[in-house]
Order: sequence, then C-alpha cells, then structure tokens
Amino acid sequence: MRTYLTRRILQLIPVIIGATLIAFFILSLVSDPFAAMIENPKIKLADIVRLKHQWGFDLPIYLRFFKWFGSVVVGNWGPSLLYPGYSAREVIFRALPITLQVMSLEFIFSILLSIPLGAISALKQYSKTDYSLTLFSFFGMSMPTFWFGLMMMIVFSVWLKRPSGVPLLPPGGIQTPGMESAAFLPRMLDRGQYLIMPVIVLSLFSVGGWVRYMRSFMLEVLHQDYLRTARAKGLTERTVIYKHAFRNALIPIITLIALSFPGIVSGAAITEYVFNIPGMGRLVLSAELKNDFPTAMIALTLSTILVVIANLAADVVYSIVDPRIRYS
Amino acid sequence: MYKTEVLLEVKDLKTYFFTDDGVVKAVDGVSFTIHKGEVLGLVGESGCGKSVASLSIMRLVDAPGKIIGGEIIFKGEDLLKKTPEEMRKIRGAEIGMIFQEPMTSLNPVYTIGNQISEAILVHQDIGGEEAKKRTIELLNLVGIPEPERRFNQYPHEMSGGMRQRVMIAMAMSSNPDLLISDEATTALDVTIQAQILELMKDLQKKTGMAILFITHDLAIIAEMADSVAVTYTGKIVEYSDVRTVFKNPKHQYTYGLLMSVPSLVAVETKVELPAIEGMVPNPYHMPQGCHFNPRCPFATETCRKEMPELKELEQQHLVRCLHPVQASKEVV
Amino acid sequence: MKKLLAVVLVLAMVLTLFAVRPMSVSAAGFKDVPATYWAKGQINYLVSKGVVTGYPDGTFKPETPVTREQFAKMICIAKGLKEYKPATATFKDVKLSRWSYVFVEAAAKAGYIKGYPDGTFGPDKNITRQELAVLGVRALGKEAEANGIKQSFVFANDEDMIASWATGAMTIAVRPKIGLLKWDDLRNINPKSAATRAECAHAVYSILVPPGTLGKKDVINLSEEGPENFFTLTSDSAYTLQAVNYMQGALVGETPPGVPYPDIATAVPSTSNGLLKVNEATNTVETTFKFRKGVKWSDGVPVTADDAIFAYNMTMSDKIQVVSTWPYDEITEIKKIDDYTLYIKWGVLETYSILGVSLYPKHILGPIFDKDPALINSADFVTKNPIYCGAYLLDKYVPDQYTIYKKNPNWYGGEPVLDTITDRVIQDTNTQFANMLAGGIDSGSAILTLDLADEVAKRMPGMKVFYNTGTSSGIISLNLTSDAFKDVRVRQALYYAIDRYTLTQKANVGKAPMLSVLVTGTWAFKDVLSQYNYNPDKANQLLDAAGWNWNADHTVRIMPNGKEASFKIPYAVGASFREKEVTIMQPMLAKIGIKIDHGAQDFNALLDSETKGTFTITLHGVGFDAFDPIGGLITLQSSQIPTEANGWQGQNVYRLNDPEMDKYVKQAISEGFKSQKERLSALYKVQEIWAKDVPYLFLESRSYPDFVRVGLQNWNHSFAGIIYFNWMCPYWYWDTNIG
Repeated sequence: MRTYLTRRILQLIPVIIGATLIAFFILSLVSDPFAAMIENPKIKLADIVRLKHQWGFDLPIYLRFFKWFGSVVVGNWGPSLLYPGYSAREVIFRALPITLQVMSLEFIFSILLSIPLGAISALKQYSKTDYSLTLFSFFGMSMPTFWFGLMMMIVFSVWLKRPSGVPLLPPGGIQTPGMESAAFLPRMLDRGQYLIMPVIVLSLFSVGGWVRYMRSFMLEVLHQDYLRTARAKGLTERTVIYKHAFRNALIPIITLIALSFPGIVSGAAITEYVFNIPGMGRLVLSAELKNDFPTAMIALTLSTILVVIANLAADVVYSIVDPRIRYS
Repeated sequence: MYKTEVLLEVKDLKTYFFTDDGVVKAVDGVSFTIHKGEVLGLVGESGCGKSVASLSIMRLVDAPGKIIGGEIIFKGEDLLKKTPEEMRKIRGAEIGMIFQEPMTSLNPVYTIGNQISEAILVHQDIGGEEAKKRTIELLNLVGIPEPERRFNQYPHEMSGGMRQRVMIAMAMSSNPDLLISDEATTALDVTIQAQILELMKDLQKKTGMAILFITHDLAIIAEMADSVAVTYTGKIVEYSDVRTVFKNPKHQYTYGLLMSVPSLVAVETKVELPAIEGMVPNPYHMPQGCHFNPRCPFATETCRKEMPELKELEQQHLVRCLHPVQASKEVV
Repeated sequence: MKKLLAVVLVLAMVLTLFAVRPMSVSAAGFKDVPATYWAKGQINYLVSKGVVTGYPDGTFKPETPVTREQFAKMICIAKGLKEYKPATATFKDVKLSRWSYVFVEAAAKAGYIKGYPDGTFGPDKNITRQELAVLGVRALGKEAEANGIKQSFVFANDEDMIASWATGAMTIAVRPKIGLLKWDDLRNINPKSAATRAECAHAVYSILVPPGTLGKKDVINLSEEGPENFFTLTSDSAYTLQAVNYMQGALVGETPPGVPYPDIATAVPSTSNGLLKVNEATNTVETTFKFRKGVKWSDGVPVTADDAIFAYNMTMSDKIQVVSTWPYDEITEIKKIDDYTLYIKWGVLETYSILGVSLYPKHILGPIFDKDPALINSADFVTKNPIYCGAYLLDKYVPDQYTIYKKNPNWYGGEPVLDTITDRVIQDTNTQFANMLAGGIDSGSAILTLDLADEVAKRMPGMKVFYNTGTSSGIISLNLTSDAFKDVRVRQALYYAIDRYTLTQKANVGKAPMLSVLVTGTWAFKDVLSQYNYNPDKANQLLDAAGWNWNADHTVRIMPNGKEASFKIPYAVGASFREKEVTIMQPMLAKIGIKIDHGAQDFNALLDSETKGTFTITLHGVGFDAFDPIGGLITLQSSQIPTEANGWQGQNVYRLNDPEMDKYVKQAISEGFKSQKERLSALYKVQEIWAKDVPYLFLESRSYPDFVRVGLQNWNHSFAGIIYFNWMCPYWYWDTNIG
C-alpha cells in the first residue's frame, strides 16, 4: 500500500502540471484583459502597452507559463485584475472561507439526509414512501436554483417577518452590517442565518441525486445471497440490514462522496449569484468573464489539484472500505 | 432405513409464487419425513421446487412467494405457527443451512472469523473471546489448516472449497439437529466436491445430525443419502430409501434420470446418452393431469386428465403414477 | 369725487388686510405651484402654519420678489415672535403707522434685523439672497460664528459677488445642516438677486425644520457591483468612482448636467476671471487654481498645492498601474506659486483643463512613492484605508457585500447631515427586487430597466421613480449630398412623420426622444425639436412641396430624380434594438410614402460608408459628453467633411455645409474658455440653426431610472449615471413632510 501511495502521489505531479499547462493555454486564448480596455476612449494604446509589460503579458506564451508557474510555486500568485491593488491570493482567500462554509454545510447536510432516505427508499421499494422520495428526488434535481432560491426569498424574506418587523431570513448576503468586528461566535451565528436558505437550495439538488444513488446501491445489496445466509444464521432483521446490507451499500457511496469533494471549493456560481454570496463560484465566473487572468488561473489550478487529490483519496478510501480491493 | 425418532415432518407443504404473470405453484403439496440422524436426498431438475421447499422449512421464502398451506413439524412443533422471533432462535441453532454459491453467500466485507463468531454469538451466551476460540475449533473441525490465521481472512482470499467449509462451520456452529444443504457442492469442482462430501459424512457421523441434501446429482445421492425423494414440478413423484429408488425405480421420471447417468461400465462407446424427452414444463402453463405426461412414453388418456396421487406401492415406497414401471430393472 | 376716493381708500385698506389674513389652503394647492415645483413642500407647510398665504385668485406667485418688511413679518410669524409696538421707532423709515411696524420692531428686538449703517431699514426694498442669508443665520443664532468666517466656502461660480459682510452668512447658509439657499442650474448662488417668495419660503422652512431634525440618519443605497478598490488611478470601474465620490474633494467639481463649480479651488478658471489664458499661436492653455485655506485631509493635515503636484507625478509614473493618463499627458508644466496656488500649462487647447488635476495626500502616499512607486499599487490606501478630504469617510468595507461610509464632521463644506451611507451590493436583479420588497433599501441609481422602473412606480408607493435622461441616443445619419436628402424639406418631413415619443416608449428604453443636438438636462440644452411634433399631414405637405410625388397607386412616392422613395436602413449586425426601431418606423414612413427596409451590415463597413460618403442613410447609436458640448458640435462644421483630399479626416459625415452654422459653431468654440453663462447664447444659436437644417435624425433619448424612497432630500436625479448620483451626498437628509 505504501508503495502504491508513493507511486500515485508521484504521478500527481506531472498530471497537475499538465492540466495547469492546458488550462493556461486555453485561458490565454480566450482571456484578454486588454480587449475591454481598447474600447475605452480615455485609455490610450501607450497605456495598454505599459500595462501589458507591467503584468507580464508581452512574453510569448510558453515563457509566460513558466514565469507564472515559477512565481506561483514560490507563493506570488499575481495581481488580481478584477480588484486592482489586491493580489490574486487576497481575493481568493477572502472568497474561499465563505465558499467552504456554505459548501461544507451543504455537503454534510445532504449526506446526512440522503443516505438514510435512500436506504429507506430501497427497503420500502415500491411503497408510497418510496414513490414520494423518488418524486422528491426528481423535484430536487430538476428545480432550477435561481428560481427556487428566489421563491424561498419571497416566502422567507418578503412574506414572513420576525416580530420586530425584519424579514424572517435575510434575502441574500453573508453578514449583517456591524458584525464585522464582533467576536467569533456571534459572528458565526449571524452568518448562520444567512446560510440557511442557500444551503437548502444547494442541498436540494445534491440530495435528489444522492438519494437515487443510495437507493440503487442498497437495492443491489438487498438481493445478495449473503443476506440470505445472514438470515439463515438467525440474525435479527436489524442486524441483517444495518450490519450486512448497509455496510456493502456504503462502498460505492463513499467513493462518490470522495469524488464530489472538490465541489466544496468550487462553490456554486448561480446560487452565489442569487443569494449574493461573494464566494469562489461567483469569483471564478467574474474572473473568467472579465478576463482577470491571474485569479482565474489560480482558481483553476486549485480546482485541478483538488480534483486530482480527491480522485486519489477516492481510490484509497475505496480500498479501505472494500477488503476485496488491495493495491500493490 | 435407519429408524429413529422423527425430527422433521413436512406435511402437504404448499408454497406458491404470486407474480404479475400468474401463480407459480413451486411447492405443491410436498410431504416427507426426516428422522434423527437420517440423510434425506431431495432430487430433481432445476426449477422443480426443491430449493423452495428447503427455504420454506427455514421460512426464508421472499416475496412474491408465500407458504399457503401445510405443516412443518419440527421436534413436535409446527414451524409455520411460530413467531419471527422464535424462528430466528431456531435458524442457525437448531436448523443450519448451507447454500450453493459460497462466494456470494459470504459477506465480502467481513472476515470469515467475524461471520462465524457472529453465528455463535447470536445463539450462545458467551463472550467474544470465547466465541473466537470456538470459531477456531470449528475451523479445525471442518478441516481448514492454520485456523488462527484464517480467522482474519476475507472470503475472497479463499478458494471455493475453503469457503464452503467455512459455510459448513458457520451452519454447524451451534450444533444444529438438522443441516439443510441446498446444492452446496454444485458449484465446486469434482475433487473438491468429493472432499466436502467426505467432510459432511464425517460430521454427520460425529454429531449425529440429520441432513436434508438437495441436489440434482444422483451420484451424490447414492453416496450420501439414506432416503430419496424425487420431485418434479413441485410434487414428489417417488419416495423411498436409496437402494429401492436406485435399484427399483417405479416412476418413469426416476427411471429416466437414472438412465441418463453415464456409466463407467459402458458397453458401447459413442452411444448417445439417453435423455428424457421434452423439457420441464413452463410453471405458468402446467399440463393437465399428470405433469409428466408430455414426456412420459407410457402416458395414456387418463394420465392426461387426472393427476395421480402419491400412493404407497410397496412397503415404504411411494410413487405418484398411474402406470408405475413394472419390470425391476437393475439400472445402476 | 371725494366720496369715490374714500371708497377706494377703504377698499384698498380692506384689501391689504385681506392680503395678510391667512387663506384656507385646500389640498389641491396653488394653481402656479405644480406638484413638481422645487419648493412645493416647504410652501405648503408654511401656508398650513400661516407663515405665508396665497392670493385670492388661488395663486401663490412663487417667483415674485419679497420686500424686506414682508420678510420681517414672515420671520416673526415663523419664529412665533409677538408683535412688538414700542413707542420709539428703531428705524428712521419704519414709522409707527406703517403696517409692518410691529413686525419690524419685533424682529429687531429679537436681533434678527439690524438695518443699514445709516439707521434706515429699507422696508420696501426687495430682500436680496445674501441679506436673506444674513437674517436667516441670525435667526438660527449663528451670527457670531458667521462673523468669524473670513473666507467664503460657497462653491458657487459667482462667489466673488458676495459682499464681505455676507461672506460668513452665505457660507453657513449653504451648509448641509442649514440649507437656507440653493444654487441655480449654472451653479451660481446669485447673492445680489432678489429673493423670491419660494426662496423665502424655503429658507424659513429650513430655519423652522433644519435638515436632519426629522427622520433617520442613514441611507441604504443599492448598487449592482462594489468598488474594485478605492483608487481611481488604477481602477477604471464606475463603481470605484462612485465609492471615491463619497469621500473625495476636488479642485473643481462638475454637476451631472456638465456645470463646473469651484470645490476646493476658489474659482473655476476662465478667460472671464483671468485665471485662464489661451495662446492660440502656441496652442497652449494656462490655468491657475487658488486653494481655499482650511481644507484638510480626513486625518487633519492641510490640503495644499503639493498634493496636486504629487497626484500628477503619480499619474505619470510608469510603475503605477495607471489605467489612463489622459488628460494629464497634455500638461507641459505644473508648479506651485505658493502652498495654495497652483499653475498648470497645457500643450493643447483642452477644455477639460479647467477641471485641473486630482488631489492625493502627499503626506501619506509620498513616502511610499519615494521608496518605490510600484508599492503604491497595493498600498493600504488603495485597498483598505483610503484617506481623502471629502464629506464622508470609509467606515466598513466587506467586499462585494456592502460599504459603509460615515460622515466627516470636519468637512470643509460643513458637517454632513446623515451619519452613515451604506452602499449595498446585490448583483442579481431578482434578488435586488426581493430586498426592495423586504424593506431595507432606500435608493438605487441606474439599476432598473425601464419596465421594471414602471413596475416599481406602480407597486411601491413608498418609492419615487425618476426617469433620468441618459447620455446616448439612436441617430439616423443622412447624406446631405445625396439626391434623396439634399432638400431640407424632406429632412423636416421625416421629423414630422416619425412619432418619436411613441418610438421611444415602444422600444421601452426611455420616456422621451432627443429634443436637441445636446442632451436634455445638460447645461447648454435648448429644446429645439419639440416644434417637430408628430404631424404626418405636415410631412406630406413638405414632401409634396419638395417634388416627391405619389406614384400611380398611391403606395410610394417618387423622388424628383425618378427613383422610388425606398431605402434600406443599414445598422450593425446583431443590433436587435435598432432592428426594432426600423420595424416601428416602417408604418410611420409608409404613411407618407417612404418605404424603408432592414439592412443589417457589418459595423465597420457601415462606419466606412459614412466616412467615404457612399451612404445615403444609416442608423446607429451615439453618445454625448454633458460637460463638453463642443465635441458634438464640431462635426457640424463644413471644414469637418471627410474627403479624399484631406485623407478622410473629419466627422461631418452628413456633409452639412451651412455658413451660418459654421459661424456660430466657430464662435462657440472660441468662447470655450469663458464662463458657462457667457457661452450660452452661441450654443443656443447653434441648436436653433441645427433644428432648421436637421442634418440628421435623433431617435430615443435613453433613460436610466433612479428610485428613491419618499422623503430623501437633495438626491440629484436630473441626469443619469452611476457615477453622478451621489455628488450631492453631503446634503442628503430625510424629511417626509415636504415629500
């Protein structure tokens, strides 16, 4: 196992470099921060040439990649063009914690909700419960986030109010003005009320998917012979389901969970847009649309690294939970 | 037949499957008796209902199957009247069962030691350490070398024969009075099969348990069984001790089965192996009258109209046929 | 005869009594004070309190001057002073018998009026605005403070006209928390003009209910995006400018309609006041800026000419990621005459030279700059902690969420009224609406589309919607050398035939069409196109007169050259909006016998055809500069016609050749450095001639609605623009009484 791990980790390096190189190349083709500037009558060609040189855009592309890669490795992630004066690192590191908060809550919430629901759905196959859960899953998966988010805001912010007159849940945002300098706990509690709606909206989609998966995996397991053996041994039905069936159904689910882990960092652009959350999803979208090359590149690189690591983690986790899988 | 106390008496067991396409009468009025220490062989082609009969005894029949009639008297009590809780106490402790596919019949994510100990712990009031000791004893008993090491192994780390031994160990862990072997050797290759059969005979002698041996392989029956019940389309068509059935089969089906076994004492080579004509009928469209009549060379009009009863032709020899085979053919 | 005289006298006396008895005010208000009148709220309030009355004919006559004794009475009633009738008169010319004696004496007793040095009061003289200021300041108890002010901070183009004895009072009168006087559209304070009834009502109201005494002390404004940073040198985002507008002060400010006014400078340089010298031979302009003394950065350090020179140095540094150096790259010399006097020489005749240069705190950024100019790019000043000298300071900043500004109590213009202003950033339109419905938003500028603005106007009665004019329009260019459009009657016919109001509203981007070659609401605008009201009959007459006769089956006209009056209107490929306009115009022009059709074309080819003169008619958009109207008018000169000979230089693609137009445009250009007041007549003339020649057609005038919660005062909404709406922010306050 150790040799396997070492080998895989070493393999990560060329994969990451290769992926970032390709991303860099493609992004360079489409992302031109100077295109918009040329339109501005107040900005002269001399200004653009000067800025190009200052930001290092006047080198040929392969040199530019190495220059960029070298500085990233050292820790200099470049300036943010969306926010002149801020470095790409500052901009990303102020969006990242927010996305992590939202997405980890969503992650945990959806997993805790969908695994039991999926198992119940499978155990009660074709019953009313199963049908309702299936309906709910499809509803969740097909509901567009921007519409559902808006509906939630209308219900919980416009219609429903607290006794003091303010909306029951705040319509978007992540913080109440005045809480910037508060202590950690009150600030987090304040943050919590802002996250309720976006987490529910985001989870809706995931829960739909996870429930279907869990149901399917569980059903497969429920028809296995070893359950019959277990019953033949005289075990209680509870033990048969929880110890024998469930444990086997978890194997593919855990792998899927590990693979969706990178989502925690990439955020969800539309939900962030609708709920006015300054997270990674919205940031990356803005960076790509407005040609903030350094920020977009860093975000892409981060995603790449995470996806690669998550894949490795998934494989490792898989081998831990399924004794039939052993690596050499 | 070695006669002792009656252990299990199955009376007119009926297990039907209620599907969308119709009702399948998998077990349609089956009766047999197993005495203590007796080995009863339940024989028949695939789909004749023998597995379902054994599952019915354990009450492990899944929907859409349902036991709709009959009695299963085990140690004087009707199992069909027992609560699920009572059945659980019986399963694994008083009646053990082993299955055909040892690979899929063992849970791949737990060690075999865990799975055997589990069987012990659920029925016996002892601690984990004690259970482990007993598991290792059992592994020894079933002939698995290095039992301490094997305790921590997973099913996929073992060969088919090994796994079947584990299954046997699991089934025997609480010294059951009856062991049901549902085609347990079918999936093993011949040499391993022989070893397992050897083991089972050995254990049977040691513990005095009864075995309900389900198979389609007549050779195994000849070797293992004391009595034989031949089943066809959910009904027993011939029932007697093993010698009688093999030497003096009265039902055309039994006769056909015995004829189709290749003989080591073949006179001619390159002779076609006689097979019973026709196929097992579609369970949804059973023929009228005797279910065997389309394939029976001696079928008459009455056969096509009337379902014969299982009648005692001679002493302890029951046959379900209107025209039982007359001549006494030495088949085997 | 005597009897008649007696009757007349009695009648006159009785009538004068009536003149001062309060009239009951019906909710309908006065005939000559419409709902949109600037002082309507104040007038109604004072009328309801009996401080002023209307006339028997139902008018208020808000524009008539007020005499000094009339005002004395107003202030007495307003302040609840008891009529005072001492035995000896205080003033020589206000005798006991005079009707205003009791009021004048009461006001004198209270110390509000002091009269002239020669002991007279001048009761029937019109009270001037600066006298109004002085009296008002006395009534507010701030006379001592006013006497201590030696330098005016009135931010007006006619500040030098203020009498020395009124300097302090005028300075206090325009402060945010006082608000006695307002500037006019050309940013003059008019100290010597007679104060009108409306102006007096406004001043008295402000004395009774000073700005900020009612209502809440904050404003929550909605923005679509947040600032990129707080440094417009490295960020060209309009939202950065919006943020900095709250916080900065400039040498010369600019109102949205394009009027410059002296902010930190004492006067806007012009040839009229001598602070600007033009040398046409060398093509140079020299400007001098005198700084007001006492202006401080928010950390207390004085603002001096050094800060301006430093700003210039930063802009021209090539290590700072300056987005644009214009127009500073035209400066050939910049130096300080002394700490409060700045001299700049420009190498071109730049109209923007009168705005001077920006100001940055040298004492903060200088040391960083000296270490390494590149460090400025990411300095704290830029990202977190800007120090400017304006009315508001940065309090809290959560990027892409909200920015909270708190007032600078030491602002050189006086303490602002509102404690805080919050800019909330919400990008999604639906979320914006949800927040507006949930409450918590007070205003927003140029966020709503027109149809959404209409919805807000209909459904949210607590919000007022202002349909501001924008700076762009659609323009149909005509080639005046072509057979089709060389006849002015044909061009005028087009104006009569196209219902431009309907066009603008159907296309749903504005409420009114362009009414001149300059945008409605800009400082030099004159409405010259309303004469072309929608009149297809008139259009038909003009076409008949021009010899464009109907064809046999009366489906289309034939031009004098024999060709059918059928035109393809080219517009840029993908410009769906222009496509819509052509569709709307088709039936209108069909009515007068002109067929038009769609002709989507590559935009560069379209522009090229205009330059080369190969086009007959085109349709595209055009933008305007509110501050500098000359840019749009230069194209009207015959010298600007692009020809092969001059290398296709010039913007007069219509090929207009009118000597009268040339004359007045030339004059307007030559007057470019005079004060705005003096430039108006030439600019008006140009617009009039343009309306006669109509070389091209203007279509819609885009509107960018603002919405503001009812009760917020001094929100500037006359002209659209994200960067314009908050220039009056120090003067914002809440008062729901006056609407």
